[in-house]
Amino acid sequence: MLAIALWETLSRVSPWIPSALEILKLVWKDLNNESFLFALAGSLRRMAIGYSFVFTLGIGTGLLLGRFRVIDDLLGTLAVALHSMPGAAWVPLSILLFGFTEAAVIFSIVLGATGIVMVHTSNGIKDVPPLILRAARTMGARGTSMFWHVIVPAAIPRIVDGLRLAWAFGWRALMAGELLISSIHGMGRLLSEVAKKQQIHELLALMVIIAAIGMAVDGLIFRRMEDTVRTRWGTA
Amino acid sequence: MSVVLENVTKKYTHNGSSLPVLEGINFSIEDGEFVCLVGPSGCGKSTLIYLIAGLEKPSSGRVLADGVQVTGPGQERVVVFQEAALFPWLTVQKNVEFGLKMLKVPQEERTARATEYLRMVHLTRFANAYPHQLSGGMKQRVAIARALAMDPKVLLMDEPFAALDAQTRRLLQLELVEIWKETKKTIFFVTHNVREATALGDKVLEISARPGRIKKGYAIHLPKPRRESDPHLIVIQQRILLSLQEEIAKVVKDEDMDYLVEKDNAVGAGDRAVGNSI
Repeated sequence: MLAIALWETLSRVSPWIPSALEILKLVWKDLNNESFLFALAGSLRRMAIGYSFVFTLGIGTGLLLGRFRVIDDLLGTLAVALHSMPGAAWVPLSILLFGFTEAAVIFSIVLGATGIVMVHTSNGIKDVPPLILRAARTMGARGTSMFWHVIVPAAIPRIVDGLRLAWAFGWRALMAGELLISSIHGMGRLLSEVAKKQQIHELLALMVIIAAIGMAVDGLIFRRMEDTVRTRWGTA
Repeated sequence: MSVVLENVTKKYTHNGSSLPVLEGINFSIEDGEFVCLVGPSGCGKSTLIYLIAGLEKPSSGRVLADGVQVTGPGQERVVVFQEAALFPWLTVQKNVEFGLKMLKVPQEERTARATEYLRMVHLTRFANAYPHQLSGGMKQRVAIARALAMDPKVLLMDEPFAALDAQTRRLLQLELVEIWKETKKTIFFVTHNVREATALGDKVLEISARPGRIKKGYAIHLPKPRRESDPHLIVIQQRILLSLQEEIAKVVKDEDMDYLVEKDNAVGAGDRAVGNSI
């Protein structure tokens, strides 16, 4: 609220800064516009599909990396490499593989965000406090039971961290993908359309919406999850 | 369960140099006995617990539990650690059930046994709480209930009350004595607190500074629960403290500090200081 008030005040002073109220009005108009909502729904659907892959693949391979030394030796570096690649950098390859299609956008999300989940999951598994492991061993936990009943739950805080970051990474990859693949109807295409028409206010309104969705999902889902996990597991 | 240690030594090798932690350890714990081990910090007390628990292997010598050599952890020898080491993702009830689950005990019996031991440590009301909602003393009680639920033959306790305030510690000592009387478990209890050792042990073993050796043993034939101010206890405490002063002086020299512990300080200060400053 304070930020909006400050923005509005500045816009009154300087002719170069667009009015916050005007942009909020445009945001409202967008939210009541069927074609806009259609684009938004498309983007969210692609994000949902992409993120389910990220979730499954990231945690699955992360668990394998953490559990089996051999797999970690073979693929550990690859996971780190994957996670250091920005999502946008995958878009050209995705287009080569899948053409200008929805699948290409989803592929960019998956490659842009899976690495971070993998790395966090496998690190979480490798960093379980020795005391917890000792206690579990004296109570008879071994091998598989140790892994599923002790190591995996102990790693949950790190996994949740990874999932939260992956949401942000995936959201960015989605926008990058949609900007380049303009044949599909989504937020990215709307962005490039209004930019081409030099409608700065409309562009800013879209950006506000994109940021707001990113923040809302982060705050309402991931922050809450992380807070619960933090209190229960302790920060250590 | 009887526990026997025969000529046990333990060395850690680090970067090629070997550090002797325990040397020539010989002692035994009779079935149903409550044995306390006191000694300065860093003398291998925890290592000794881990050896009996089977979490570590001796470099030489043997550890026997009911005449059988210990080769690994076993549910008849459960450890209660200084930090309760509860599983934060499980409720108190599920924490206590954990060992039974590993033993594949059916859910009904698990619930029943966990409830029984939670009652024994007076935590029935907190069965559905999570560890982070408990105080230090309560966590330690859960850890004790969790160990007891597995019906071990010997309870190995590694400074379980060291992180608690004096009142809570005293309360838990009294509860432990009750539990010991009720369950007739063999208990091996490690502490750096002389007063605690004499309040609890049928036998108090004193371990020397590194490398740890059993220096002396004291039998205490006083009924439990014992009054802390019992004059008999104070006499024993002072004897142990005097003997420990030498060990502490060694540790201090070892650690290359600027001061030496005055031999008479802790003892001369009278009852108040007894057992506190080790």
